[in-house]
Amino acid sequence: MLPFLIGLMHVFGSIYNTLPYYIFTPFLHSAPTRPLGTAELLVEASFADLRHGGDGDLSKAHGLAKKDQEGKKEAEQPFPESWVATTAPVALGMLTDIFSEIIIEKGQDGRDILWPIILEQLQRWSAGFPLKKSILQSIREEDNGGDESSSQADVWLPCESLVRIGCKELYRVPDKLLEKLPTLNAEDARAWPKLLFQTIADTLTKNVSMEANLHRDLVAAKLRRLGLEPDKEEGNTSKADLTIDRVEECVLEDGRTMEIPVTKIKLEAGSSLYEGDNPRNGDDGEDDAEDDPSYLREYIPSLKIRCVASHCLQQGIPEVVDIFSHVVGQDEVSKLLKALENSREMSSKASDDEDLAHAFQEALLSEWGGGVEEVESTLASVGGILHKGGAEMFFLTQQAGADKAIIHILSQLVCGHSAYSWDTKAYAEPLLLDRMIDILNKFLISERDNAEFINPNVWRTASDSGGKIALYCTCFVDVCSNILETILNFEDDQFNRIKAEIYPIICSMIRVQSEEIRGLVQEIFATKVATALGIATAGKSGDESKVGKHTPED
Amino acid sequence: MYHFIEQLIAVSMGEICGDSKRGLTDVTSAAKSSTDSSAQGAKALSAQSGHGEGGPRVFSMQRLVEVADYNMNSRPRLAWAKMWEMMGNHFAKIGCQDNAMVSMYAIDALRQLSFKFLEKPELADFNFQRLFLRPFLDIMENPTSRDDIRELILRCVDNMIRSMSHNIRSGWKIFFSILTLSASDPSEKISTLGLAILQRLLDQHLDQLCRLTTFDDFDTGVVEAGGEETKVPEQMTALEKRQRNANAEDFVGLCHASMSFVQTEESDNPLPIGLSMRALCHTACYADLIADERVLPPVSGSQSSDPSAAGYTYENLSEEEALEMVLWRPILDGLAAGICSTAPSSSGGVGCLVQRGSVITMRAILLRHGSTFSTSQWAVILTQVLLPAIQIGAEYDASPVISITSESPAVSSLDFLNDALPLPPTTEDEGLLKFAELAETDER
Repeated sequence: MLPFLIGLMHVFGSIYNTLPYYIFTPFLHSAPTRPLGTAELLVEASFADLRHGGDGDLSKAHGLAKKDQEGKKEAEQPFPESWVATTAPVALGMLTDIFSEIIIEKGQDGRDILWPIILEQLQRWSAGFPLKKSILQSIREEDNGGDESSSQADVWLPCESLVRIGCKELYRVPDKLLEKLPTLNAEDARAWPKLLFQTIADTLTKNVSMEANLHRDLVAAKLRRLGLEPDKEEGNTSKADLTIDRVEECVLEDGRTMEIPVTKIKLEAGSSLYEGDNPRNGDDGEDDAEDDPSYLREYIPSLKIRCVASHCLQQGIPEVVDIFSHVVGQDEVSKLLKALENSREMSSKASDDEDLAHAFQEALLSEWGGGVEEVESTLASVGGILHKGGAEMFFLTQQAGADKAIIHILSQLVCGHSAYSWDTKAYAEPLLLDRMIDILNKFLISERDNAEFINPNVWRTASDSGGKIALYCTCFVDVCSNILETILNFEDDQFNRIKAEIYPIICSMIRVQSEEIRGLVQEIFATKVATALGIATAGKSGDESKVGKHTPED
Repeated sequence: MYHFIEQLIAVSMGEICGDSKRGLTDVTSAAKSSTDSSAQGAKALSAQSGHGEGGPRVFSMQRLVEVADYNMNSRPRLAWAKMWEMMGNHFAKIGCQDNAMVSMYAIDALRQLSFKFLEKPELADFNFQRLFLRPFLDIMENPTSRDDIRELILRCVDNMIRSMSHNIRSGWKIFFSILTLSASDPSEKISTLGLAILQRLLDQHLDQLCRLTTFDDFDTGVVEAGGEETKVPEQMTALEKRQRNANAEDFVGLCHASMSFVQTEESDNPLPIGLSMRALCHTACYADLIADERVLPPVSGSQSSDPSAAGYTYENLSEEEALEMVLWRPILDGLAAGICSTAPSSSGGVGCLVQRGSVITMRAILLRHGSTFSTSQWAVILTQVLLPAIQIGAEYDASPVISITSESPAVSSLDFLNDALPLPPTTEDEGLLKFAELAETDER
């Protein structure tokens, strides 16, 4: 018997010996030796890049082998088990790549059929729209036979990480489109930028609508909890202004409509929509809020995340405008401006709302174990200003971002050298002037009132301090600088048209603390004002080369 | 004849269970001439196995092998199939015996018979190979089978593929099912071996695999290459259509076999990450085969209700588009499952390797072969595969990352988030071609 078994083992032993070398551990990291197909080659190269912690440039993948020999240790990730931190950016980036390589090529079909599908996912992460249930919950319900009683539970809303990833990806889309633009036919080259403008306006509007509703509901819940009745009239007006009208106006053109009907938004935008981990029944949410001591935990993180989304969405707008503003029409620009205006209004109201500021501070302090009394005393002890994590920090930053984007768009229309198909100057100049005057006046008032609270060192890096100190004057330094630069870029006749309104403000700004602003003011005086007065300015400005361009003859 | 086999099986079963006083070593001629030491070894073995003093006997089983051997080619196929059904069940039972000597003997008998059976090409429209090889699958499926026996079966499969792949037809289905089962085997060694077999199948037998797309007519001796003279369905005979459908089904089985090595759920016996990553590379290879039309879709029978049945495809497509997606569905669905995998897959401080690997593979396939899909197919891929997978992945994450909120919109506390990948270079990119060269020459 044994020889038989020995023979048997020999047979199998020979099989074992002839198995490829990669049965053992090396094969796990080795590519096959046959010619690779196109997709397979890409995967092998990508995995080699992933293994060696490469930068994703697969053209260099062949050089990564050396790193093995050098025993390179890969950098550890802070949250390696987090799908959101590690995989979500790559996954959503894949959608942008599909847009770039496939959807654009499909022309009208791409715009009508495929782009809305991808956009829905981008908006779902960046703006929390469309309002849908958690997909996991839907699967569970399906497994349970579609039990309707559980289907009224909460809507899924993205965390801040997903919002930032979604916004970032939304702005990779224009970059990819720009790369493809030279290869497109005339129709597609016009249609895609228009669609992108509409998309950005639509996304921002939806986000701001949700943000406004959250603000309203949070304050209402807070007042109810304190035994006070919220101002119903004001609340209704706000809801009508910020939810129904604006969303309707931003529905995409060419037959494309929003996923969620307006009526549904109206119904679901109540307090029951934004429940986090403690869903209510939906029909009686307000009563629940009254008794629910965790309302801060439910509303404030959501509101902060919406604010972050608005900020991120606004940040990318200037670049898109620079690239595509000359291709799109007045309609698209107006919608974008209107979306930004909505955001500005909403954030302005929110940053002025003491109830909201109080709720934010209460939430912050409740994390440390304090209550309403502690909040009051803490607020009193610091003169009412708490910066990091406060409502002002969030909403002033959003407001500054909206204003910055508005100023940028209007400046581009007024001073830009692109050839527009419509009268951009006539449209943008009055709007720009209004905005400039409003911002500069508020800046001056804020600086005068809050000077005593501000460390002088803050002004050294004033442009970067917007995210650190929650005051109008610190948050808007960058915006004011942009405004002054815009004034410097005005043609002389443009400056002459606005000088009566602008001159007194510019004079007041001579005394502001920010050196950056004072420098720009000086330059305006040395160039624009001097020119208006008919004075030759060469040699009087810090920037002679620039000043020298403007002569009385100009 | 059937009665005789039945009785022989009953006797064999009795012998195996230790009714006889005679031991295993007494039955073969080789054993009769064995040395004293081997007899002592066998005695010790039989004592260990608890089958009585004499131990189990395989005399009748060996006669059964001889009966099978004599009848295999002399009986009409249908009669042989009925005989083999009885014998195969018996071999499968014996193959699951606790006694390694007995079960190994059964596997060896099966192996020898299989080699002989596979020497004869299978006619089109028949599936006797599937029937014949079934006992191997039954033993693999049986949870009471021994680890070393399952490993032995995989080695038999590997050997049969290496030696007989030119004659394998309906047998592929059984092989792919066995390889699929190896992925979920509690023994890591078996899983590793299963994937290694698949890898070699791709590396060394890709042509035989791609012959899945050909129409073989052994009656006329005509072998038509699918890639060169592809007939439109209207020009095909009923036999050709059936064969094309069967070939597509086998290819789907192959895809499932590789995808089963991608860990999609948390498990007590997690697969090594390297196996999952290598399996992901297989899917890209399959995608290349489909895109290059080296594998052809079925010509009829698409359906979207039963994932385990043939022709499983996506809804909301025209008939032709749906048939094309029959081949793509196992790849795309498998990768989608990998994207939202809940299995931990970190290595050296780098996390979510299976999930990221699945995204990378999906991206590579879609970017390289996306132009082959129609707009409707793209809509289906996005809405039924890609977006749900991405959304589920995000919703499953319960790490602290989802609770982090910044203290200001302008100052992010989430700088550690990964970046999206840059667009891949074109297929003609020099760096990529250099990488391919290195991969082929194995100089890396």
